[in-house]
Amino acid sequence: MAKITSEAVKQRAKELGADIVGIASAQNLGNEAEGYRPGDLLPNAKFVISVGVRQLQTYMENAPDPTYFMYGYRQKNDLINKIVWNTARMIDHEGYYALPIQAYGEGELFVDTNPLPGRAERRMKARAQMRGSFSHVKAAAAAGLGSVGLNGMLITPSYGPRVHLGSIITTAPLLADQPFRENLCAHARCERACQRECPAEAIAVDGRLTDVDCLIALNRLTTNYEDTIRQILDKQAKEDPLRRADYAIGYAEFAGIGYCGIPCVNACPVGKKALK
Amino acid sequence: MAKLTSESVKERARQHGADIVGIAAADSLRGEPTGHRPTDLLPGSKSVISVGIRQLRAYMEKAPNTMYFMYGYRQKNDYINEISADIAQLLDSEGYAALPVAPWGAAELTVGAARGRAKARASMLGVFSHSQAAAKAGLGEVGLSGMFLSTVYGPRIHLGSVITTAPLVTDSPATGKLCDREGCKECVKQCPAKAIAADGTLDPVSCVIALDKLSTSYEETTRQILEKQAKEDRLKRAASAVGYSDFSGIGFCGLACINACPVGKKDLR
Repeated sequence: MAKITSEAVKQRAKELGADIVGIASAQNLGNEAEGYRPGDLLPNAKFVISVGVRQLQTYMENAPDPTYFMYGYRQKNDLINKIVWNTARMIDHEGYYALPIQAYGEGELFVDTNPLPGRAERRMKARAQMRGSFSHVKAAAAAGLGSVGLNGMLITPSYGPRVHLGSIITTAPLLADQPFRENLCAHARCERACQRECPAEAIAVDGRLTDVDCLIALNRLTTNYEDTIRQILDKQAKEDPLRRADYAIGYAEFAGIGYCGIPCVNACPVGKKALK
Repeated sequence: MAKLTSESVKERARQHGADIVGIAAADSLRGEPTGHRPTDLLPGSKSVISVGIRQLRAYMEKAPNTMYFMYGYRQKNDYINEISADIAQLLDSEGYAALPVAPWGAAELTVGAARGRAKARASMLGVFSHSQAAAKAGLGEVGLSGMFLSTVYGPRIHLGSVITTAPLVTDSPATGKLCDREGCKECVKQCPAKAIAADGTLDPVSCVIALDKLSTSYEETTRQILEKQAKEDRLKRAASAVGYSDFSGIGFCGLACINACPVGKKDLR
């Protein structure tokens, strides 16, 4: 049996389609919130493998918005899921636990073992906070792939924020890469392009994010949905309208109604390449 | 193009990620219930190719339950479908009819109604028995828990099948004994729903309720479905409730019948 090595794992992920891959020590993510640390999801986790796939710039800059949501968004998720699953399978075959964390996810799934009743509300909250089961961004930064930018996204040297992430938590003994120390955002001299160009004004000058505004703009929700989301965050509401809101948002996300144009990604000068 | 052989079909499946693959004669499954035999689904079928992939043990033993349903369960289904579809395309391009049977599925697909679907789920009866096909294809045997036990991995394997008219060279059914029905009974002891009797008789309704961790109201609905004919309306509701739990990752019983089985169990680090 071939010994499992960091190099073999990285090579597998790249063969499967990853553009970037790095390895973080699970200890370096010990400051994450309880329930979101590698060891909370997989006991005795030692390392986190972080993989990134670049989105096609055509989808992000030129194609009609719904095309991105309907195809670009879903397909890159499928591709990332396949990369993390099959890399995890290789590690599992070698005798270690490996838990793939997919490209999308909702926080409530992982902290809630008996989600009924009130599930819809928790789901909405998790979505409104835009919080997944695990922070791919923090893992990628700890794995040396980039720094966390003013817009809250991972900024990579080669592609800037134009990269989508997945992770694998594992008990296998690998070698960790150095965490990313540089602040790519600070050197960009873009005068906060992401903050200035966000149509929802969801990014404050100091980088503080207003998640609800972002979500609403991202999904281009109408005012009554916006009200509903705000109500959910502000107070406990009755089961019924929550379910409706839940459904509406799911629809917006999966049916490709539209989105804000993601200028926080497109405006970022780091790693931006002019295509012909 | 290279001539189609059993070996080339198996090689193709392995290349696409199958952990185990075997071939059964369609005729060896003639004892299945009417409507569930290979020839009922594909007239003139000669062979059944059985493929299996192993589930990641991190999902099954360690991760929070909901992660398994949300990701592990769905993804392994996707990959089995991919393998089956690929084999079927290979056979089809060689001039043989080939029908991939997906790893999940309810009998209602063939009889078509919400009532059938709810019933099929409640009885956990699929279109086609992947377990029986895998056993006839020499990959293992059906254990006391009703699950397929692979020679190599025990019950930690998920199956798909391709029914085809291609007359492939078949494998011999497995002969060795994997399941210690009298001495072990770990699956019987550890099932939280007590759905497996000591003699191996299964109570599928209790299983499906525990598996989907359905609340009492759903449980009653499911039982009603099995016990008597009810009105279409209620059945549709029940079917959607069950579908919801399946696909939204509500939770499950911990799959004790799989994790407790000593066959093919290997400790991971």
